[in-house]
Amino acid sequence: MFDLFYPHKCVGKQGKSKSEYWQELTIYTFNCKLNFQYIVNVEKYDCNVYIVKFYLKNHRHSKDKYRLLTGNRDAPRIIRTCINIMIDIYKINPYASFGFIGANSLNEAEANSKRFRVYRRAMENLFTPLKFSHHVYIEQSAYIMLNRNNKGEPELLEKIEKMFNDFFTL
Amino acid sequence: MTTTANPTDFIDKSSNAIDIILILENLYKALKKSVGSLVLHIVLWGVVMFVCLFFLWLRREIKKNYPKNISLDNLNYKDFKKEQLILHAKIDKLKDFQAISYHTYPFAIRLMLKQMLSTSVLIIYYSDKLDAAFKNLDSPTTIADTKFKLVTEAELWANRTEAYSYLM
Repeated sequence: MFDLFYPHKCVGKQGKSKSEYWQELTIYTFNCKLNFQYIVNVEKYDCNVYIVKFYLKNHRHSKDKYRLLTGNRDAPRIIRTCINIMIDIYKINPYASFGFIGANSLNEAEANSKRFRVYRRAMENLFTPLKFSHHVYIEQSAYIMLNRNNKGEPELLEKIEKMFNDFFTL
Repeated sequence: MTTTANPTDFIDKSSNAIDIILILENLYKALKKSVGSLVLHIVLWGVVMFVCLFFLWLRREIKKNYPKNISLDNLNYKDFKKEQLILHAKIDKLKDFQAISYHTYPFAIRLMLKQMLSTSVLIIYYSDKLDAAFKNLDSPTTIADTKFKLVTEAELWANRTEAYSYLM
């Protein structure tokens, strides 16, 4: 299901501080088989936490850009491309922890959204529990993979939850 | 987490040993029901030496392949997990066997049982060590009390499709 992917490229970085936790935004892009361009925003927060978000470039002006469905039936390949981006980040920063929220579609409840279930499945199948401890908050469709190399941060999950609260209002 | 010896031989031999122990247990029960106690004793004394020597040899073979350190890494994780599941499938029966009251059996049986029990102790000890290694992955990485729920190693394994290879 997640075997195929698209080649991606890093197109820029923004280091402007949005808040006390926010450190950097790295923007990646890739084109799908229908030649639509996708934007992947990887936001770096304190404690080496990276939040991965992606949307179709055509939806960039919509306030619901993360919630719209494209109907292209290409989700596994797109998700795998985002996972490749995560792996690239991990190679650069072996202390990286990752998080995401599976946004609910327009007529869908927030808890355990369809996107969350698919992303969760990808994480469970492709990332061993040896490098990351996996945590879910099903009510808000949030998923966090804590890097096990971060042993010096005993309250990492609590900090990440606070960040999630500030940015995504859990 | 460094690499370690492949424990496949150990698991194969342990698995065979469990099967043999359970077969012998059933054979004894069947013989006890179908032949008289005198015949049973004659049969037992006839095989006691053979059985004891066989289990001594088997235990030596198992010890030879006994993985001293269980050190999980990306390369061996799936192998260890499969072996844990193989052992779990059989070990419950072995634990029942361990619970038998050893002293109520005739002397010839006790000699054989002693060897079998020593073998089963070795296997159960390894299985517990393996369980502890996996359980260690579920130890809380943080002390925080959060809304996020840990997905345990066992849950992650149960939820995954075996055909996938881990990327990291």
